Amino acid sequence: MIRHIKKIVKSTVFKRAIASLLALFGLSLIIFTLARIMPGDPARMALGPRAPEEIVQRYRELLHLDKPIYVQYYYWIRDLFQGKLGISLASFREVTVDIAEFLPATLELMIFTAIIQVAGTLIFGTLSGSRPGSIIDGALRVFAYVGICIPAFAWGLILQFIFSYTLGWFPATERLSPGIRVPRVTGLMTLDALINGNLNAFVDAVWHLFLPSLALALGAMAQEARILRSAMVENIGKDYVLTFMSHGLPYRTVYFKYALKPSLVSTIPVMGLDIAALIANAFMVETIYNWPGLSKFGIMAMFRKDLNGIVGVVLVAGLVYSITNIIVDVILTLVDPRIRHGGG
Amino acid sequence: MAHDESGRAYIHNVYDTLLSMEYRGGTVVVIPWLAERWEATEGGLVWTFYLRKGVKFHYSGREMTADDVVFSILRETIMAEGMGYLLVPWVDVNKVVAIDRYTVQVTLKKPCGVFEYLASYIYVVDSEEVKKNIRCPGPYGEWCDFGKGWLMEGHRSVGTGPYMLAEYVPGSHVLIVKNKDWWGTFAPRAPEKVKIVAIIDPVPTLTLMSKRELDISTIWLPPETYEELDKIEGIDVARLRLYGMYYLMMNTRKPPLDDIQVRKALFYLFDYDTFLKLMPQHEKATSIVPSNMIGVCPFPEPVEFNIEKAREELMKSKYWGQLDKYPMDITWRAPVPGEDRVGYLLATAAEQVGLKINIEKLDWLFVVEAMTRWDTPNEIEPMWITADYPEAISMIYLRWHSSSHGTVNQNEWFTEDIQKELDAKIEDALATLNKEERLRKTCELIRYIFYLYPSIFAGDFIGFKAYQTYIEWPSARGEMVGVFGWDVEYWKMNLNLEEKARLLGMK
Repeated sequence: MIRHIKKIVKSTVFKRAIASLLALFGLSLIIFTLARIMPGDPARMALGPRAPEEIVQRYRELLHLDKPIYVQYYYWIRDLFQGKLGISLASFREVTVDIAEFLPATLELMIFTAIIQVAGTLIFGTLSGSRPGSIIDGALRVFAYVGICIPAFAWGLILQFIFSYTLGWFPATERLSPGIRVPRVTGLMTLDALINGNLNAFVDAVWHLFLPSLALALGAMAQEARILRSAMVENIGKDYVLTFMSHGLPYRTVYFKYALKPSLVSTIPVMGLDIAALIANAFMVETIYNWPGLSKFGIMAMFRKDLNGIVGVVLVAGLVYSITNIIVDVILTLVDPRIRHGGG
Repeated sequence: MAHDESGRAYIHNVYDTLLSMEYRGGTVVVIPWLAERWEATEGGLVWTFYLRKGVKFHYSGREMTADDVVFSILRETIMAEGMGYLLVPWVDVNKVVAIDRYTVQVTLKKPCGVFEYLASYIYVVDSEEVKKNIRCPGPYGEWCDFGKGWLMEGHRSVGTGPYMLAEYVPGSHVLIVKNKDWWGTFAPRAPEKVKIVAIIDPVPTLTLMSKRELDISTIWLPPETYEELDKIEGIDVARLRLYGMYYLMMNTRKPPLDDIQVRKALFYLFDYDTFLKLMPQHEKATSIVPSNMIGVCPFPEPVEFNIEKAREELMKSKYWGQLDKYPMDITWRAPVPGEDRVGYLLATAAEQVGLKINIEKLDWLFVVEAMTRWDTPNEIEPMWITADYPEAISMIYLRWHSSSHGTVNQNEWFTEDIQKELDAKIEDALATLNKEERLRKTCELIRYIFYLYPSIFAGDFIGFKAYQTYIEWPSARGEMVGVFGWDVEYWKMNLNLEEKARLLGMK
């Protein structure tokens, strides 16, 4: 196993990391240019329509906006190597500070969404795929269609209406209940609560995470469950499964050990992409649940033409995508021996 | 208490101003605030403010002095952001001086009759704290960033106001608590803490208000949400008379709107009554500025929906017979519920007289960009504009003075000769110290601007806010200054916690 992991690290992680760095460099070039050719004068928007022109001009110079885009990019890259992403035109502080402020809330949401999404996909996909044509399969297919059709923000509103407004079981907004405070360590509320030994706050944070995570998970879960179901149905019909069954192996062992594993090969990449996409797509859910996350910050940066904020958020999203893809590749390599041994 | 509000409410409750405005006896008057008294000399050129003694800053506990006021005036005028734009035309930054520890003298560049109102926007900050936290470089010359970066990070409030910052969670909420050392008087049961949140979505608003976790809603909900909220026991909807109006601004430099007859025809092509049904947060306009402003004179002639009259006006136009060659664009913004219907309302009527109006969706970023120049493609631009102080001249200056060119407040772009005349009239009214005389000039201006047919005056804006009835809120009774932020003076509110407990089923 250790030998396998070492090989994977050497062959997959290293190569992917290099490729990801190149991709991030390309991404930075594209988003840097796009952000600057969008309509609107960022300095004017930051200082307001009535600010004297000489002050606005000074601000343009300070931000190097009076220089050609390639010169601006040089300054940006130079600052990046010093760990700076520039001053946000919306919050007037270092974008790295903003990212550090907002990223943990979104990451925590992503982690909980991923847990719900993966668990739901495995349960629904396997149940449905192991009994094709059954009532359970039919019901889950309907759920899958509905889940795919309804966007995350609509789920957010529906869940909030049912479980907060009507039933009152879950909180409608925010990360903690009034009166509960957790000193910030990592910014992940659940983790910080545990670090501070505050079990009440931990439970409260999980309670607050449930609805937004579920809203974000449902659509992707439905889609992935469908993919898993199809793969399961296909694999169950294969000769090797029939052979196992004819040898009297229990159905459960055949389905969960021998049919599920190869079926996951097609599901895992989609799962990975869906989870990674949350960092950019969680905006509406974060808005509905008044969740102070990076996705919401990114959209606000777009509205205010906060150049450095936009580039910073897109780069973080790109980084999360890259890391998620590497993790997906590693998992796939572990799951699928054909990839591990260079075949398939 | 929890309130869904913007930064204006935070500023108004955390920072004291030099003077203030208050609703008294059916009108709004300027009242002493950090300055106990004041006087204008040399024909309104020199203003002397005598400061209240013993006023303490939050956190530092230091006594506010004339030096702090001088610094605050300079900071606001030099930065010229937010409400600072009001001071820029008037304040001579080289002649703002502390006469002694409690006296400040401000010399203006030219006489100003409304400076008392403007002094209600001089927010006094702890100059020592701010100076300690100035970061360089910054856009404000020797003042670098004027401490803005540090303040925006929400470390602390540096004002003297009734409430002070306790917690700031960016993207989520701000918690302010009562300033026990405040010099003013709190209502007997004023809230101890106020949590200011930013929720604009109807479902969470309904949820939180029904659970009594939100006490006052935002103004930006769809009308049907207020109807839903109104049905909940213990919740009412306040109709707040802000100094706001919905204008359909016409670009007077672009054909066919460069012809006054076409603009006049459009006055008659707007179905005002149907508009009020489509956008219930409005009342019928009676003047070119909101009817609750001081010094308002009514429209000099009736404004009505009348297609025949519109046709008559168009027949006098130089474009008659070729109107189809000059299609116009009216824009709307996606997040504004129902705004597209306003465009269709006008376009449908216009079609009957041969005018072609296209309805274009334009996102806010593009609107801001489009309004920076006269030759960008938006002939008719709908916009809500809110004035800053109660006199009608405030809205007139904001809307039609040339200093508004390039901002979202103006899309008329009058020709140079008209604009020059208009600027002179506006500046003359603003410079008039005698109130009666100033209001007379304002009235003349209203008439003058009306006959330029610059905008369709669609309706006076009424801000809806749902609130819990266990809050005794003067603004809900109509006792308010019609400016954003001033409608929520937390220190004047009373909370009936017994009633809240009853509604929560605890009693």
